Amino acid sequence: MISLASAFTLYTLREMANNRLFYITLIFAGAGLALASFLAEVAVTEHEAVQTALLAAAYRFCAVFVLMVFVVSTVVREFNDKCMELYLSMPITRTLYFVGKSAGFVVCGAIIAAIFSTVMLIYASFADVALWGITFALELAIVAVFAFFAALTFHQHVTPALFITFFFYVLARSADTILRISESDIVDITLGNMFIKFMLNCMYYILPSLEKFTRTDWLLYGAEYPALGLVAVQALAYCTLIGAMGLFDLRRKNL
Amino acid sequence: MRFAWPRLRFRFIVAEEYQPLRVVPLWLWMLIAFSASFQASYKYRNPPEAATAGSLPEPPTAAVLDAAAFGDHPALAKGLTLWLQAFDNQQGISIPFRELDYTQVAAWLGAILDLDPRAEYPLFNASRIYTFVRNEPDRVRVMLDFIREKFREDPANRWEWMSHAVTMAKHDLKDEALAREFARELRVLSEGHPEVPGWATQMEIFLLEDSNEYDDAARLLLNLVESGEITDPREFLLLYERLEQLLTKMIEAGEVTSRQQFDRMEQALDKLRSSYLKSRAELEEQSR
Repeated sequence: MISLASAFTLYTLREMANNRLFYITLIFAGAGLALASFLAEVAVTEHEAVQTALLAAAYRFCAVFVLMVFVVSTVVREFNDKCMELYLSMPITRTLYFVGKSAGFVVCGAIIAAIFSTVMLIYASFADVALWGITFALELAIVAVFAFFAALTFHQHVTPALFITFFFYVLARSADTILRISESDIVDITLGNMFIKFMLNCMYYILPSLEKFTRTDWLLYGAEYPALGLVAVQALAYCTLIGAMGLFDLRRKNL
Repeated sequence: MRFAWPRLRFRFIVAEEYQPLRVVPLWLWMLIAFSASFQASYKYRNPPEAATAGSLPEPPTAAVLDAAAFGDHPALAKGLTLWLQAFDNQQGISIPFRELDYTQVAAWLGAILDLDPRAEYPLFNASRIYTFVRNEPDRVRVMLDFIREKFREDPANRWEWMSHAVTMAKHDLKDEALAREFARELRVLSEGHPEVPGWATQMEIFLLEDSNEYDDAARLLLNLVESGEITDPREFLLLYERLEQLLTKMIEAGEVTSRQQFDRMEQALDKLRSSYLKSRAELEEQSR
């Protein structure tokens, strides 16, 4: 069974190669490096810190965008080309297919994180970049699994799947800010405001705190390895939650 | 199923998927050329508005910046720093600092520092860039007040900028009183922070000596010796000799007008010397 799941994982990696994702990542890495170097020339001090901060932010955004588009387009294409029906007509359970594909997408995210982390070694020490890179891979794992879930839910529509994934990522990155906003004093205690506060609190508890992942502070001011444990637990728990929801949806689909 | 690695070829566009260029009609070539040249000429004839110095907006609130950072506060802080720094030097024009609203500049620098408290760039800009405006003491004071306010929030890590503010107040603003005020604050708030070097905490003594304020300088030096902050013999000797030179200078300038005043000043030197020797002896006793 493991070999069947790993076959889907390897085919997902092959899909990554066929989509030129590796080359796109390298192009982004080079372009980002050039742009950050150019912008840092404007800085009169802290050149490396400016480059590091801007580059890290740009790489994170690019990686999330590229992976999100790759996952959604792959799944939608499999639906449209009837590949999924072909796979499921074989003696392969839906769970096996889902786990194999999810693992493949997570490995793709890890490869992208590794490429960008290698570039960041120019600006930070190995220990700092290692923590940043590991949490980056975990962040991309969450995005990949969510994108897979979104693509399964909107299986013939790329746009809503991409939109919901992007919206999820933006909200997850702002989860702590959302909580701070909901805890701020509301001048008028009205039913509407209380409902909004309740919804903001619900959003905070549902969303992963991606602010704690891939922190630029670690590259600028040194890694804080005690944070890795909580981040890893958050990533595992959230991937399990979203994975279970995706599997729930897949098992109920009429295919 | 047997997995085979794909042959990786660097081909984004596969030539055989396209027909030759000659199948494209002439009107389509003309349309592309016309549209592209129209777009370029439109942008050329409608350049962006030249920014004026008065258009530096108020910084957003901390909550807005917090939300806009999407969890990456240092990156937003660095980006905003570059934007603010480049604000006075935009395309085609250079806005003199004297035309910038320094209150807004200080507000922006404060907002950026709140985003990334460990950054030094905003304080560098405040102390080394925005203070280089000639014959505008009020603007320099705005920056110095900003540095003082931020130093109070984190004396251990921002003492360097406060010491620069002392120097700016003394030499650029020629305001001895303000320089002594900054130096006193630097000394007082640095207590308990061993990372602040001795020369920074002793700036006040030098300023007092430069102002011929012998009594205050001697009293301050005595306090530092008795509190154990000055233990290095060379450091003590430097400060002690300066005090002796000040006494000599005051005598030569006729500022010592009575025997009592002279005796008091000599006693202060003796007390200083004996306090230092006592603290050195205690230190050596402890180290044994």
